[in-house]
Formats: sequence, C-alpha cells, structure tokens
Amino acid sequence: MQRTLSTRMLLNRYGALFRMPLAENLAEVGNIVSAVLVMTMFMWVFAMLWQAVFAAQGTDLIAGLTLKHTLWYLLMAELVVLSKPLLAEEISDSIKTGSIAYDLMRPLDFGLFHLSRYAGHVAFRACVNLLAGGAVVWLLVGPPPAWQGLFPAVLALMLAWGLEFCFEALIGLAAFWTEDISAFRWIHQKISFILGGLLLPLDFYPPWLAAVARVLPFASIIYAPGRLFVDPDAGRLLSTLALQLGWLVVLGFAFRLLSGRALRRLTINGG
Amino acid sequence: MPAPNKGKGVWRNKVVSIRVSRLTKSFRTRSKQEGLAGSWRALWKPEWRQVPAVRDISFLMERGEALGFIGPNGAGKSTTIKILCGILHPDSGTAEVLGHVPWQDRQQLCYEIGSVFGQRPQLWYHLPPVDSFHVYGAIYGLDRDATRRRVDFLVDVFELQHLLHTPVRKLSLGQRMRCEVAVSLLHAPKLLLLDEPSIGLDIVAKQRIRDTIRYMRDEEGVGVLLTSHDAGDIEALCNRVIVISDGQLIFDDTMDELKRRHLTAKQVNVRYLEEGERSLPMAGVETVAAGRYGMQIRFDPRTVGVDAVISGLNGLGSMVDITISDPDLEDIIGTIYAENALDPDAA
Repeated sequence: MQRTLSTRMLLNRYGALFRMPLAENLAEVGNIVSAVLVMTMFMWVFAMLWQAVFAAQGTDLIAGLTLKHTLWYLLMAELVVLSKPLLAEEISDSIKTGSIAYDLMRPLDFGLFHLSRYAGHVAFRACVNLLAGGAVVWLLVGPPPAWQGLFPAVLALMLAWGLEFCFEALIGLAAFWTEDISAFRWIHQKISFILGGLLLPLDFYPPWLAAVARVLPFASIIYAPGRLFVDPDAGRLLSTLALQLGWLVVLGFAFRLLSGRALRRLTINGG
Repeated sequence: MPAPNKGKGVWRNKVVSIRVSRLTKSFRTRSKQEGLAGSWRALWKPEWRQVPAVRDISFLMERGEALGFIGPNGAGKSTTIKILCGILHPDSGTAEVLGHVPWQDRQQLCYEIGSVFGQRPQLWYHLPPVDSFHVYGAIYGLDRDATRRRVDFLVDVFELQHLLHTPVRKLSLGQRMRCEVAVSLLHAPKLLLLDEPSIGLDIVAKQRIRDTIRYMRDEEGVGVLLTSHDAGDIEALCNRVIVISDGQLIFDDTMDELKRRHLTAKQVNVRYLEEGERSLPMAGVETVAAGRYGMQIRFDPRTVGVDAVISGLNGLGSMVDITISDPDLEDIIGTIYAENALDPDAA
C-alpha cells in the first residue's frame, strides 16, 4: 500500500470529500426546495422593508447607497450566512458521542477533512441561494449595479467562508472543554449579525462604530463581499483581501493550535 | 489462570501482527458527592480520581489469525482496541501492531488496518454505497481503476450487486452491515478490527456476515480481531479467544481449549408420552426443570456415564423425544466471569 501520496492523490482525496456533500444535496430534493423557499422569503421581506425605509426618508440615497445597492448587498450578506453547514454542531456532537475517535482512524488531516466537506456543502448551497435570492432581487430592483463586482465578490466570498469555517470549527472544538457549546454559538451569531452587517450595511452605522466594525473579522465575513459586489474598485478590493487574509492567518493559526491541543487531549484522556 | 502466551515457544516461528506487553491505561474522572451540597463542593474543590480501564494486559496475535476479544461492558475492550489503533496513548506498557507503534505511527497504520464499528457507520447515509466505495478509494490513495477492480471483487464476494446503487438509508440493517464490512476491506488491510459487527441483525443476516468474513480471512489471509457480545460470532469466526474483565486478561487460549476446560456439563431435555411426576435420583445429576410431560437435567459426563443417565431416564416412562446438548458459549463465558469474580487475583 502506498504510504506517501503525491499532490495529485491528495487533491483526488480531498476532491472526493468535496464532491460528496454536492452529491448528497442533489440527492435530497427537499433540501433544495427548502433552501429556495428560505432565501426567497428573506429577500422578499428585506425588499419590502427597505422600500418602505427609502420611501419614508424621501431620498434615493442613504449613506451613499441606493435601494438597489442595499438589496444586492443584503443578498450577498445572506448568501454567506445561509449557505454554510452547522459545522460547530457536527464537531461537538462527534466529540460528545466519542465518534471523533473513529474519524482519526482514517489517513486524513482533521482540518482538511472538515474543510473539504464544508466547502462542498457551501458550493452547492451558495449556487442555489444565489439563483433564488438573485431572481427575487433582480425582479424587484433590476440587475446588479456593477457586473465587474462579481469576480472580486466571489474571491472575497471564498475567503469569507474560510474565516467562517475557522470560527465554526473553533466553537465546535470548545466541546472538548465545555459540555455545551450553545453559548459560544449564540454569542458568535449575535456579534456576526450586528458587527458583521447582516441586518443593515455597516455604512448606516455611526461613523465611529462602522470604523471599528470594519476591521473586525465579522465584517470581513459578512460585510466585505457584499460591499465589494455593489461598489467594486481596486483600492477596496486590495484592502478587503488584505484584511481577510490577515484574519485568516490569525484564525487559521488559532484553529491549528486548538485542534492540536484537543486531539492531544483525546489521545491522552480519551476526550 | 495461566499467564498469557508470552514466552511460549510456539510463537517463535510465527509472524506476529499484534504484540502487547503489560499495557496499562487509566482515565482521570471527576467525582462528586451526592446532592446539591456535593455539587456545590465539586464546583469549588473538584475531586479527581483515576479509574483504571486496562490493567497490565499482555498478549500476542499471529498474522492472519482470527482472535475473539470478549468481555462485559466496561471491561476495557474498547480502550484496548483504541490503543491498538493509535487513538489512545497508554500510561505504560508497549504495543506493536503490524510493526508499528500505534500511537506514534497512527497515519501509517491506517493504511494497513480496516475497521467496522457497529455503532459508527462509515457509509454516507443519503448516497448509494458505490459512492462511498469510491471516496474511500480516493482516501486510501487508490487510483480509479484499482478502486473499480477492488469494488468488483468485493461486490462479488459480499453479493452486493443489487445494493450498490440504492441509497444507504433504504437498505436493511443486514444489507448495510455487509456494505460496511466490504468498504472496510477496500484498501486490502492486513488486519480487520470488528467491533460488534452483528449487533441488531437477525440470524440469517448474522450468518451471511460471518460467512463472508470467514471467506475473506481464508482468501486474503486478513487477520481478524473481533469484539462481540454475541458468542455465536466468536464461535463461528475465531480460533482463539481472549476474555477480559475489569481491565484484566482472565483467559487467553484456543477456542477448543476454552470448550475443553469449561464444557464440563451436558444438558438433557426429555419428553414422555404419559403425564406424571418424575425425578432422577442419581449422584452427579441435577434436575434443572421438571414438567408434567418432560424434564431438563444437567450432569458432568466425567463423573456420570451418559449411558447410565439415558437408561435412568428410560426407566421413568416411554420417551418420545430426547436431546443432549452442550451449554452455550455465553454460559461458559458467564462461568469464567463468575470464577474470576470469586478470585480477583486469578489473572
């Protein structure tokens, strides 16, 4: 049996793990229908809400954004949040039931194993959500304000999901030390909603709060891809990617550190 | 109880696949006094105690051998298996599996062992088994053609032709288990770890699983380390048995030896044509149950002759049916546990 695998074989291995959630999602039509329903409903409610807000203000522009900008931004923000699987719960369940030990019996890297499956799930859900939510927004306010924002937004989205993966995995691994991870999950979710700009763009915040929020990782996950999509320019692209990569290094390091400690703890004390 | 096989001359010329010597492992767990006050105290001043899981276990397993590993819940079976897979570090002692120290060399060892844990499915639930086969092929570094050839072979042996394209969630438990065992053999491991492979299966499905495992054992020389509560699994598949209780090894010998040493009683069920109250007052014969038309007795054939018992029973009326049987392996194992409980230093 081959012991040292070539890069091609490694790609083959994690590529196969990436494809499984795609196939799984395709096999479950119900999953697709429910994703479409949720996304359509969310974007419809947002559109009604923001149409009313803009009408009440009697203006076409709030904090430099039009209604069209705001809705396409919110679509991207929802896309980040609604396309990810519940990785933290998956990891914490495997710790609580002890099944994590059996995962270690495969010749797989713990981080890459979860990352490839996470990416497969996200890829599928993101396509479905983008089509469903995009159709609603397009119908209500017309096409995106700047098509050239699509490629930078896709780049930023991939890094955003990378960051979100780290947060989810860190929360899940906390189950090694605390029985219940729901407190961490709750805190992370609420901070993401507020400081990430899920409910409204950070541009609408008081300037001091927006300035603080923009440099935090939550904005790199939720705010950055959407803002880049509706208002792309080279300067914004560079600063967004630099900040995202910086946080990815920090959170990636934290994940490696914590997963290393957790697995050592598992092998010494059985979890 | 005799010492484990270490040092026995018979092992010198054999290829050893597992060598375990004086393995010990304990876990640190929190203990708490009863009630609310106890919980309060534990919050401020937690008390820890060491719970021994495996105590000074030594044994050898020959390459290609089928070894049964039995013991009650909490006996230390899973802990030992996890140490042998490299998932747990022992506190002391040494172990070598297929030439690797498991906890130092887990990733390499993964390629050489296959595993089936009854309570931990490895197939993707919503997808047909064929998809899982191909993913595991990629995980173990097999190329597409090699995977296909191996899948064809396993499909043939395990008779999976009509199951291969059905989503796993639609398969029966027995069909799913056959696929689980087949996928664990995809990378042609030298050693197969089976933990309760027949749990929850009906007798037909159990028999099928046992037959295919036995076939693979003979065909590819794959070693089998089997833990099971089902004595039938052990009897059908293993030629050697290790019994472990309370973290200690209490029996390590061949299946035949286990039977020879502990099969000391015969059981007789007899039925008569006429109704009546009957008893067989013979020394060394024990009446287990008696009814209006029949009775069940037990005797030790080393002290009472079988012919004497039969003619005694014959004298009690016109017999219409008689069966003589050995006790179940489960009863034998129960006896071993009981003996060990009476004499804790036996190991």
